[in-house]
Amino acid sequence: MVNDSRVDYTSRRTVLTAAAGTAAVGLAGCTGSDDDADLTVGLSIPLSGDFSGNGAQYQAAFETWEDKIEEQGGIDGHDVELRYDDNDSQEDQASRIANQYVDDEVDFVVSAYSSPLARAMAGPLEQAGIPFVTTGSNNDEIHAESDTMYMFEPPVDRRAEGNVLENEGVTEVAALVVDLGWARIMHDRFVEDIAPQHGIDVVYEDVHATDIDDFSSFILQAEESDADAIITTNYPEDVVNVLRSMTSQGYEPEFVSSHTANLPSVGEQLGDTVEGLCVPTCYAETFDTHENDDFPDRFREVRSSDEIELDVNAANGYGVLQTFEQAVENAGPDPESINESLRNDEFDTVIGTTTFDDRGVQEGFWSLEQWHSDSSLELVWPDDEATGDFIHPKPWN
Amino acid sequence: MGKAGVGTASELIGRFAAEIDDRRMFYGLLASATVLAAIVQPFASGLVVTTLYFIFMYVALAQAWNYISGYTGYGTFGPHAFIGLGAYALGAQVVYLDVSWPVALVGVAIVAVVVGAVLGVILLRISGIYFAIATLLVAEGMRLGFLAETTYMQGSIGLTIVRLSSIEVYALFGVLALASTIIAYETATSEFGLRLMAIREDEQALRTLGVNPLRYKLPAFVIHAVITSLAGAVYALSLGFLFPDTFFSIDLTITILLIVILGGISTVWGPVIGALLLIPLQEGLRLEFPDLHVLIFGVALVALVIYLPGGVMSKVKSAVEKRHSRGM
Amino acid sequence: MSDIFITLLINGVLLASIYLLISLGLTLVFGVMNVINFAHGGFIMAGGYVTYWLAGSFGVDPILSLVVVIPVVFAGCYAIQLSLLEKVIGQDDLYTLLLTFGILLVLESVFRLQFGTQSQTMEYLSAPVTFGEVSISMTRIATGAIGLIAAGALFAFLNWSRQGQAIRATSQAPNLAEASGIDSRRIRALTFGLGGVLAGIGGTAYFLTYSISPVGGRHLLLIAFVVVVLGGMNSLRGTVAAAFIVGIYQTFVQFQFGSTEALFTMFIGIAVLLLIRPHGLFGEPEGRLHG
Repeated sequence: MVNDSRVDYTSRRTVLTAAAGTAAVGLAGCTGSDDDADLTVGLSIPLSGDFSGNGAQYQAAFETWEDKIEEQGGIDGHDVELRYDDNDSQEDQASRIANQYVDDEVDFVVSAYSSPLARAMAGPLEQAGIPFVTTGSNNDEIHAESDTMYMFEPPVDRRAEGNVLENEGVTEVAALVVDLGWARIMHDRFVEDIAPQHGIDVVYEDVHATDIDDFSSFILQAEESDADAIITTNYPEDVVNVLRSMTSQGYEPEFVSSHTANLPSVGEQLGDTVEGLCVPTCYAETFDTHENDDFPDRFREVRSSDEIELDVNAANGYGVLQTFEQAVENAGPDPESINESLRNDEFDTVIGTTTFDDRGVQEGFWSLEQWHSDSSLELVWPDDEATGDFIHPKPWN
Repeated sequence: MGKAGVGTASELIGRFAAEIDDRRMFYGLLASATVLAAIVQPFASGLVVTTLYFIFMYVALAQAWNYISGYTGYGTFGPHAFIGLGAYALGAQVVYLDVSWPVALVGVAIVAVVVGAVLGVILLRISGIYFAIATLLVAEGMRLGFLAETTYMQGSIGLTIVRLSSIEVYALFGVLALASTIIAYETATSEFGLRLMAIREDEQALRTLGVNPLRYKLPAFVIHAVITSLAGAVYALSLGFLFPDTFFSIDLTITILLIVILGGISTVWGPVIGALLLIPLQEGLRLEFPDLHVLIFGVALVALVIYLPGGVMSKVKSAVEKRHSRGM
Repeated sequence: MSDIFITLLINGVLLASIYLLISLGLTLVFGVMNVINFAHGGFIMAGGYVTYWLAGSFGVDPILSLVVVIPVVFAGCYAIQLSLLEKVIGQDDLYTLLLTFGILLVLESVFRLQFGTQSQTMEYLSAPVTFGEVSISMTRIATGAIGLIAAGALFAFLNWSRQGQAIRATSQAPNLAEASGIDSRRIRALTFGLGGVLAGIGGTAYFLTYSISPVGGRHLLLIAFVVVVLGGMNSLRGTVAAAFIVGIYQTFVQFQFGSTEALFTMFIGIAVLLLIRPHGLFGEPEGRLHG
């Protein structure tokens, strides 16, 4: 019974192989015998369950990289096989996938989205010494104890907001955060570090339960505390509810910045109200970064339908595999060398030049985008990257 | 056995009688399963070991659920309250009291006895439906409580604890599954077990006979709490971290309910058969129909309740009984 | 009284009117059939999703969409009662609980397959209405009105229509009702349908103000449990009172201490209440539906 299910598990998996090996050998001729030079990358993605909406973006990004790698004939002539595994947004399934990766001796593992899902994989992978990169899991505290685990995407600390607010002389801020690990860590960084550095007084803060849709009391409190700016860290639908609540309660702060508000659906649902809303990002299509002249077009080719939008998650997913590619080029096609390279080297990715600190967490910071209409986002901070003017105060129609 | 099969006391006692007959067979089966599990382990791949230990985990959880809900009819929808409690009781000891994990497991059992007794005294005063709602609300309340506790347990940010190797986890879950099955069997064949069944059939009648049902319900609930909490604690050791939403998760309870219904409510082998069928099936479905498997589970639950309320075990039993009656 | 206090009170009352809608159906079904319906959470979302679909695909006004929501949810629930729940009538509570739980899972996955995992919201009448220093959104006023009208209609139906009286009779004395020629099968289906309709309207109302998602019904189901237990499981009047207590309590505690604290005390408080008064504030130990 159990053995049958295992056979089933492997044989029917959607394994997509970049079968470029022969062509590469033929062309280059100098790679020698590379029978066992194949690289396998395990990708654990929530393709079903609660996070399936996010999972689809990462999957599209991984396929985009795969498309590129096929075209260029592998990495230095090495075949690359990508294994897409659905963790069903469940920790027990993620832990099973990790164990299977260990069995099958994959060379590199990525977990896309959610800190608990990433954490559930860490143990077996670390024991086996397989380099493991998480993206879309902002809880960097889970990285402290591992030598082979990396977090791709810089920790969000809202320093962009700190800078912008200081420039505008806004000092009283109210902050709202959903009760999830990643969100609370971001929120705490802002409240404890960034706000004091920029002379900002957090006059009211509130942690809300994940099930809560009613934000009227937060808005009442923010208004009572005379907050001129609002910083939220929660899900896109919460952002929509918070802004609607503001309009309907007649509260019009000068500045609102919401993490996760860069989804096109936020603009569609909010209409005019979205104008002036800010959102942290670590990627923009206008970035002058490695392969960013090619990535957006290729992404839309791979996912020609308009169902999946290119956003910061997708860029991070692509960036992880770019990092993997360069680590193999730098050090060689085996887990130890890849790990060595990740520890020490610098990587050029679509989100910029990337290094990892001694915990394995990416160094860097997030920029700030602002909605200029219900369908356009412009980069407004830092100034040297800006594509549009910063609108202040936020218009309320 | 048709849809009335859930029915009468005589039938239930009949079902149990069939198992009582074969005491040697029961322990024989259990012993061979244990030997098999020990032999298989060194040759099995990591994935097989992981799948097996999840089967063991759910055998223990399903036996624990059956213990209170199957036998006495007090259907709890809150096993995840104790799964979470066990996980966090272990975490608190390991992280803050610097206790080694085997000792901490003993601590988990003690905490479960205390919390189970207190909750049991409160909740067992109310009957079927009230009990179901109350257990669900308590479980959800505990999840929120652990989310609100941000000082020591760090709420949603989570807590890192020790992580055991999958072989250790395999052994621990194996022992738990074995112990819970033996407890279930010994209970079902005892006077105590018959009293539990009597509570299910007619608690009022028992009371008029001068028996205090709480004397039986409470120990059953405490045993349920202890096994469930220990399973939660070992699950935490297998993952190496604690997040409230991972352990106080109603998805775990849904799986337990499905296993028991599939295997057969208030039977000793039901939880075992249910877990052996469902866990590999679940994995297969997740791969084949990633978006459909919850739908399939829902339909299966509805169909089982209506068409096979006694689970797979009821079919096995009736087949066995038929053969016997023909033979004799 | 300060403006804040008044605003909170109004918000609490308006939240309560949604809670009232989602709880009344649960009480009604329990009163007549002694069944706790876990699928109720799915019926709530069903109402919201029908409205979402009509608004998205045909541009139907959300309030007008109730004209479709009501018959669709009624027919669905009527059919579920006749084809599924009838089959477990008279069996252990456990089986009806498990059955309705299975239906909930099915509904949730259908929503997920049809409408995706993400939450849906809708822009509707969000302009503020200002009374002095207090401003309340039109949407909230509209949803409050829907809640009160639907609750009033239910009470009128139960008291004055023939079928309503038959429902009450069945609830109070099932055997007697059957003996006097009432088709209890049909009455049960009617009751279950009505319960579903109340949930569906509640879902539409909730969607107008907040957001819906495939599993969004679970949280509301727990809230409805809190209301129904507090009011006494078989008391419609108790449910009305409890809905207002819960709505206002949650609003004030959330304002003062936070949402997790509000929900935590509500859920645990109910468990404690069950210890002191197992039949809620207004229920009678052996009583049947009264209202």
